[in-house]
Amino acid sequence: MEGSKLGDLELLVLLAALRLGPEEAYPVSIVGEIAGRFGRSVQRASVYVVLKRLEQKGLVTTHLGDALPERGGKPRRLVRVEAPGVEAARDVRAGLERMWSGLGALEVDS
Amino acid sequence: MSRRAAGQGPRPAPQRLPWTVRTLLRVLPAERREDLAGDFEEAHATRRRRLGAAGAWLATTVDAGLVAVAFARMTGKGGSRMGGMSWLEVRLGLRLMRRQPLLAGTAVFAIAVGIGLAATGFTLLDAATGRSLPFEGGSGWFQLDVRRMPEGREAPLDHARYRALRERASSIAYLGSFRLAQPNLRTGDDELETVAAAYVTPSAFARLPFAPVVGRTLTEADARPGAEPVVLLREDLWRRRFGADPAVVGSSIKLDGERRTVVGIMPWAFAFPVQHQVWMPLDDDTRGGSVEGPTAGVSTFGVLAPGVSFAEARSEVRFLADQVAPQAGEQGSVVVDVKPYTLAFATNGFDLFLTAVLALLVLVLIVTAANLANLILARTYARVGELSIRAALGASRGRLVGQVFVEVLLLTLLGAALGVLGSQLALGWLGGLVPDLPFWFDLGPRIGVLAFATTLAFLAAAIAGVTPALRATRRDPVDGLRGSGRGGGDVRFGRVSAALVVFELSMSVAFVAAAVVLVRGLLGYGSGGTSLEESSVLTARVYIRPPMAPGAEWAVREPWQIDSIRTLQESVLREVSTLGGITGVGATTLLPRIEGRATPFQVEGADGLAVERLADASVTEGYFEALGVAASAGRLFVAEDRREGAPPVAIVNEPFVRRVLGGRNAVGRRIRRPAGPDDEPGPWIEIVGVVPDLRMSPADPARAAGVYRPLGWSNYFYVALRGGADPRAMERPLREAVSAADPSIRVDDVMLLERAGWEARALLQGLSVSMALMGGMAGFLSLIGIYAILSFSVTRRTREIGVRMALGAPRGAVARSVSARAGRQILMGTLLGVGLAVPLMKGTALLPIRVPPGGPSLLTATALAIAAIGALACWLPTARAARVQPTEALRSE
Repeated sequence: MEGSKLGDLELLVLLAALRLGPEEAYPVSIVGEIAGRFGRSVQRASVYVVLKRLEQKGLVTTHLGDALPERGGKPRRLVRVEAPGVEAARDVRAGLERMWSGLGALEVDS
Repeated sequence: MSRRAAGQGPRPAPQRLPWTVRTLLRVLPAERREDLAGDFEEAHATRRRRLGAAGAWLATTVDAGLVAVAFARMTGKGGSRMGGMSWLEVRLGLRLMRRQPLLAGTAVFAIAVGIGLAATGFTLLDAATGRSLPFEGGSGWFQLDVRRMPEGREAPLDHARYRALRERASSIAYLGSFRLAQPNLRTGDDELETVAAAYVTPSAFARLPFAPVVGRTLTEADARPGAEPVVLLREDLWRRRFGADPAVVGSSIKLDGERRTVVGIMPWAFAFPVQHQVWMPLDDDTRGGSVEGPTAGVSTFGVLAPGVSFAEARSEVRFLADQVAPQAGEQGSVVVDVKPYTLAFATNGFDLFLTAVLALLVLVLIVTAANLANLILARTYARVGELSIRAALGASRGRLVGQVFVEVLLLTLLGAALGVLGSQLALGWLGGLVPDLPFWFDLGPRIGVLAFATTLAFLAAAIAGVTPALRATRRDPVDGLRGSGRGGGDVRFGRVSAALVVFELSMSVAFVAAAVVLVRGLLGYGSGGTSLEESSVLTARVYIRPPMAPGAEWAVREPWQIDSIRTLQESVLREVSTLGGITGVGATTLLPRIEGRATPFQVEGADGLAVERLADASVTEGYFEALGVAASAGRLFVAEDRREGAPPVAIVNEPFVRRVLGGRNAVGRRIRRPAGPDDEPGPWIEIVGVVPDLRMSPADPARAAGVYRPLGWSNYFYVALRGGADPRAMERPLREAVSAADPSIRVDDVMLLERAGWEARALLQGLSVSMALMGGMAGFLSLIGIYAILSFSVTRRTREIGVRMALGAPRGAVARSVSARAGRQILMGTLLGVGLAVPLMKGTALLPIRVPPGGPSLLTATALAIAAIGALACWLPTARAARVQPTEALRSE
């Protein structure tokens, strides 16, 4: 039931932001993280939409970082995953694991 | 984007976002622009490395488009509404574009051409009349326009006034001077190259917000008498000639033979005063001249004090200039004007001319839009039924009008986008043709042009969409449902649309006729005449800078000036003729295929003293031999002919013999300059020889008759060299030889003789194409207009026609009643066009290259051809009317 709270891409963005941490998570790096780790190329435009939605749900907060020369002196919009976000990701994982359990043939080695 | 400059490649860092992305950023929420722009910058830099500049441009533009759409949807709650207008309208509009691709395509094309032309004109006008230099405080920069009265000739500002203005004018924050030059640059034993240079008072550098890339700028000490001669180079020159070696700073180069130490490299973007790449100091006290006066050609420029207007500065400058006592030897008064820096370079009336062109282009757009209105009006009326049903179902009038407006707006916006794109391509091409545009000329896309194009798109949509929609929805829906097929008698294509068709047809006739004249000239270009071995002759233009007295005006009048030029000219010819590996050398004031001015001559002939206008060139002995031309009668020039005091002689060409003498013997006959209003006729000149036709008028055989005289003195002439298997290999020895005569003499346009006159030919080609395009466009629009009006009128009158047919009216009579009005329009348009074509065809005489004028037969043929095409446009709807069956008429009830 809790699994439906997050969409597919929302989950990916949330996990990517958690992996990168609050100092490094921003739209460009999130797209890179999803592509590098999950192997899916995501439009940055979709990431903006998803981040906005996550923000409205109170799962993440964003703020402007320092201006950087490699960005033409423009700041990054850094993403911090808040406690409800971590909670939501955990719920999805628990839900999915309940769904996987017992399907031995589909187990993967990690 | 990057500024264009002679011979420079794309600028590397700093990275800037494509203009498309910068534009799209503006539609994004203001609070998000900063970080989104940063994301784009970062992604763009990565893409540039991976995909190259063009690929990155496209990818980042698409990316920005997607982001803009995403944000529009987010803020518009799922994208159901767009500025109060439902997506339904947009979808309906798109559906209509798919269903009527011909109409949509025509509309988009017409708007694209109209907006493209207007955007090009706007960009050019904006670039040419922009009053501000492109840096902070650039709007306060000015130049002084100094005129010596009563002749109104331009003159340098004298020392006394210059000092008075520098010391006492409170409206001026800074006053400096520059002089433009084109010295020959030599580095080590490297090639010689003429560079665009400027002598500038060093204090100006502190006013210009540019820091050197390497080294320093100029200082006051550099300009003091006796100081070490120094020079600044621009980055592109430094990269090209010195491989960006920082050690160049401190080493010396030679300019016009004078050794100068390079003290700094200025950045690529620095091109002050106009488009220059080499700077040398100019002393504020003598300004290149002496204590008596500055050297000729010095310009005075400056910066206004903060908050001072041009009018205030002007009145103070005039007051101070008038207070200075007349200088020694000064005659008449001096008038000083303060002009915005950029406008001082524009010749009188240039901006006016451009404004007129822009007005004309906007007129073209309005005509296009009005024409489109005709088309759309016809279509909207055909849809009165559909609109009425929607009205009956509760759609408000505003909603219906909005629907038609959005449909048309989609078309005009698409047209505007294509038009701006086309205009950018055209401007890029144009900028490539003129590489030395002033540095404030920015032909790149600008937000103003986009706003201008968008406004025009909305304007066109309003003219073409709203008006017809309002008229079509004015009626009661019940009426509309009842009479949907019949059309209303209240609809009338008024005088305006008729006038439009007439106007367009007449423009079409005029432009096409002018295009035909030009194309005919182009086809005859360079044909006939003598077959010269043009690939074995190398030509070059030589320019000797006339010596000027300090404080004098720019003119060659004094004997000492002429003597100096003559001496230099002779030593150039001497040096060049001693070059090894050549079999002939000569000089001329006009090469074959370069059009000169026709000069009147009195010719001693059988029928008294006829005055003829003849092409006129001066050549040295050896010139004809270098071209491989032999005398067809008499002799060629010898060195003796150019000696002072030698009896005056001339050589004429074969067209002269044919046209002026009717084929009679020319040798021994005499010609002279006819008497003017104030002076005596010139001395008699004896014709000593005849040469073949060397295309003294490349495109007009009627003007080919000409006279060659021995070259006296000229500070401007062409040399022609013949020799070797590859004459191009002679370029470097030729430049060296001229430099040996004097290092300051300029050599340019080095090319094989077969290329001579290519600029005029290119101009003729460009003009032919644009005239043909404009004529074609006007013709196309008028045909659409005629077709749309007639086609609509037939639809509207189907019932009436059917009834008339049922009552036994012959088809011919029906066809006549339908097309009579269009026929009158075609007739009027064609006649008016003939009237417009006459001055336009005469205008070709103003071109630097003359073409045979068009006669009445050419004009008649053009007019008839266009009238025939107009008749064809009438024929389709008329034929449809003639096919109307009475039963069909009843059905339409």
